[in-house]
Amino acid sequence: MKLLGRDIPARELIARIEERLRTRGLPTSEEVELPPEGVEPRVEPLTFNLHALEEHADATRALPLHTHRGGVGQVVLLAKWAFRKSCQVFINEALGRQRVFNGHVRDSYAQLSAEVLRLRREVEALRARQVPAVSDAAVPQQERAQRREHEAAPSAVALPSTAPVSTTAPVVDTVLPKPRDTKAHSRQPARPKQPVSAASTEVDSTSAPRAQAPVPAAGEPVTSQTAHAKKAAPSAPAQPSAEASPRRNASGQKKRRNKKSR
Amino acid sequence: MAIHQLIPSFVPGDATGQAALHLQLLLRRMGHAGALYADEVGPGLEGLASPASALRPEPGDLVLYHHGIASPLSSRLMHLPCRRGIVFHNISPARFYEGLPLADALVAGRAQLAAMAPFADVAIGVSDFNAAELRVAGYRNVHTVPLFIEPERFSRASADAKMLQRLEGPGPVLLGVSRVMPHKRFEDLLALHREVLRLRPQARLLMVGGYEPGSRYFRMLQREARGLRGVSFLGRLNHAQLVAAYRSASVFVSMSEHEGFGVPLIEAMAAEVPVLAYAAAAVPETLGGAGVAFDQKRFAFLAELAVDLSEDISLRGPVIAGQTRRLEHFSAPSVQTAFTKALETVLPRPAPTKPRKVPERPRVAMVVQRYGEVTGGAEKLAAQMAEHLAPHWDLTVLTTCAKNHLVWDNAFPPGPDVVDGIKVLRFPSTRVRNIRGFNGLSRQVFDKSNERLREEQWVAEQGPMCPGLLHHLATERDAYDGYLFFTYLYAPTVWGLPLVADRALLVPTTHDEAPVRFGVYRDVFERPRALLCLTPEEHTLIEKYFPNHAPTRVVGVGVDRPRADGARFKEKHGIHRHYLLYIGRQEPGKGVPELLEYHQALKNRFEDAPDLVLAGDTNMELSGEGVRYLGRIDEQDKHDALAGALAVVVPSRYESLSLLTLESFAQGTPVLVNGRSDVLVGQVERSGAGRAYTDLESFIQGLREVGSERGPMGKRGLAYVKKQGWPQVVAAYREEMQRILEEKRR
Repeated sequence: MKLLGRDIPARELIARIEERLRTRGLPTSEEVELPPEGVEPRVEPLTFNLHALEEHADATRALPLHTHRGGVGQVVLLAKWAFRKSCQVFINEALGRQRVFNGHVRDSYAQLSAEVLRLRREVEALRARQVPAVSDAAVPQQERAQRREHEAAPSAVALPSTAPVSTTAPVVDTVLPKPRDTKAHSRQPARPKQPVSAASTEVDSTSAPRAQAPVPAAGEPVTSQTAHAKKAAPSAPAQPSAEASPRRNASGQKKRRNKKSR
Repeated sequence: MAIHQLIPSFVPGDATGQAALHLQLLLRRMGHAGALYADEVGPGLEGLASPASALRPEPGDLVLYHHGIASPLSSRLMHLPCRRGIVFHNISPARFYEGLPLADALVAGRAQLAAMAPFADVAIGVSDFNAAELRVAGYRNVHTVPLFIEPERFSRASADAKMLQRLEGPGPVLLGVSRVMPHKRFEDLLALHREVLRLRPQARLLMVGGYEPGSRYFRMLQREARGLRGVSFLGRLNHAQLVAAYRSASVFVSMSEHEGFGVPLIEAMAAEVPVLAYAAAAVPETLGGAGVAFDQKRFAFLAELAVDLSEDISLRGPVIAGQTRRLEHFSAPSVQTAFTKALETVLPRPAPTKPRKVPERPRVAMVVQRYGEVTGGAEKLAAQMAEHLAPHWDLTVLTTCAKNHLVWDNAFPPGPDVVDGIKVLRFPSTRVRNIRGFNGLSRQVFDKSNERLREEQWVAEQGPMCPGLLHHLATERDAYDGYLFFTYLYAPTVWGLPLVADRALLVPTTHDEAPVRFGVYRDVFERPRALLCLTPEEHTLIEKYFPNHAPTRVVGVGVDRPRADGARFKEKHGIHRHYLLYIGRQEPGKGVPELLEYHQALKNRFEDAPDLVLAGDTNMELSGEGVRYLGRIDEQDKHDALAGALAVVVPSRYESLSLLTLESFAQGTPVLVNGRSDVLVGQVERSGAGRAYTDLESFIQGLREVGSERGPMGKRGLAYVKKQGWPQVVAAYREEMQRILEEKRR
């Protein structure tokens, strides 16, 4: 047990209190679990958003049934479940176009994010090639030192750089959302077993071009695979399975009060 | 260039919104104008923050986005065509909410944080802990700018008396303040309280913070609390109630497992309550060695410690003293230093100004809420001063397009104008005042302790809202050598004066009214180079409410004494009896209903009672036996009316100086004034040219004396105003401005 405080005689205070606890017959040194230390790791936005889009592209699929409330909450859950069970066919009909649209958004994002990552790598490679070339040239030592200082100084206008420049910013700290309990997922009414014909046609018509989308080079951390493609081939290492991705994303969530209110 | 702030949510009780307001205050002190924009604006706060969709920054502007939980505003920020900055308030780690929908929003918030990194020119963490997270997320140019606190808002005097009474009782009293959320670990507070009860069976635990009564977590807490004595869930409290809770506590306890800053910690310090906090995340940094932080939740141990902290003076005293010292780190000046340093890296450096010779005819901007064709004491004084100062200064009046101070609708066209040879630059007001809503708000906030948000809301509702004028002050600083503001009360002064405080004079026209007690006016009275008061009573009033006020000088006003003819006025308006006269805004705030009531009582009691003549703009019904309302009258008519009156009545209790009284003296007419105004009583006592009344009987008695001694009193009044000439007044203004010019040259 540690007490932090400039204005207290910490050791003396701890000794005094431990003595009192001993007198009361209470244990004086309990084993406790210390909290995890340090700051939270970085969440790679491009990958996170792609996962979130993939997870939520199908607007006809229900969100996990969840309530933070007790009794009444359970009733509401039951009502929601009953609604899903009985009206899924209408939900499919109503949200058919939305589902198609979301698929396009997901695929476009996948393509663009893959392109961004490719370009970032290229820029990094070009920069890496430039630096030794310049340093090998007969640049006076003093000038090189000045340049290093200039590079280290914070830039007034940040360029949309390819990767964090800060030495304290570990790029490898990419953290993907942790896998969620799949039980909740299994309770969901799955996709319509027998989609109505109109919706079915629409899905088929969009599936074809998606399947033909250009496949990125091997090792690309982000790909634009569709659900069909994923079934056919296992995901790339940087792309966890659908079960491992979050259920809701930023844009899909309910509007929340800022967390700082009390 | 403006510095705007973008916030996900701007609602009462929100720490992020409060942080934005605080930064805006500092930005004004640093000379930057800018507005708040929010995705969600709380009801009634539309005057303070605009919808995020209305944000249209100029390329040179800087937008500071306050980031917490996931918000669509982060995408907006990345595409803004201007400089961009992040103020990071931290995000609760998702590990506390695994399996819950909130976890996704928390992770999404972190993804957004990382996504914005390459697009941010400056990043601000409210603690070093947050700054470290920003660096990990990929930000460069990261700075720590802590939140600040106004300790005076947590004084015992600021506490809600009823709540204080309600919370009276035996101790020790433990207090926890935060939203009731799982990671705040209220269950640990209950566990601690259980142990404290073993030592002190009369102990109490107060838990303050918003909660959802139906939530599982809260119900679990309720179940746990059921077996314990002395537990109170107080829910969300308003500011005065919150202060009462702090002031009723013996020890503030935080068991939170994660804090990016911990506002309640410094609030407790400001309320002089010892802090006992679990050393999670940024908590040790915020405490900075003050209070007591612990690293293990051994409740029996902590209970002993909490009892010691509340009962052992030798322990409690030094802890409170240390906390008070620590608060200095969270003072506005200290935070402003850090904020300035952060912004210097992203804002263009101001061009070095060469010391100029003191100009013979300095360029001075006079800032006043209305100008030209308006009725109003302060506005009239401003017009008179402009007229007398124009020969000495290159004067420009900066004002609104409004004529009516109740609604502030734009009656004059915006842009340059000339009024009686004076250059005027008008800016449109952007909001029309809802007077009923405003009065309702006034009832809520007057004579109470409020958080800054409420007071700023009141100022915004009071108006006039004139962002163009504020922008002009911030961007055209070098176009003027000095500034002369009129009237402390209105938004252009409250928000405009801090922008140019280093070269501003203020004629505050202070009244002893409820808003003068608002902390939001502290900058107005403390930051200008000098306050120019109209009477010694006004100076005394300023001393009372703003002990740290700027240097003050009583300058008074000059009085014109044009020739006048009372008979001419009577003939023109068909008045055949003696009359009492009141000229000015005919409205309840000026005491006109009371005057009408007394006059009717007078008429009922005395057959030869004088009539009552009223002139000026009105916003109320004016009727009664012997009451004559003339509407607006011209200057000559006014002086004729003053000369012909039996006495002039000044019914307002809120006066910083009554021009009407002085003008009445100038025509040899005595006055009958509201005795509840120290200023009016002072004017009457110093001149010996009138009487004061406080009720009907003293009104009748005063009138009798004034009537019987009209001649001698009138002479005394005339002698009094002869001592107050325009040359002395103008010289005082010029001297004060000269001081600014010379300091600027150095």
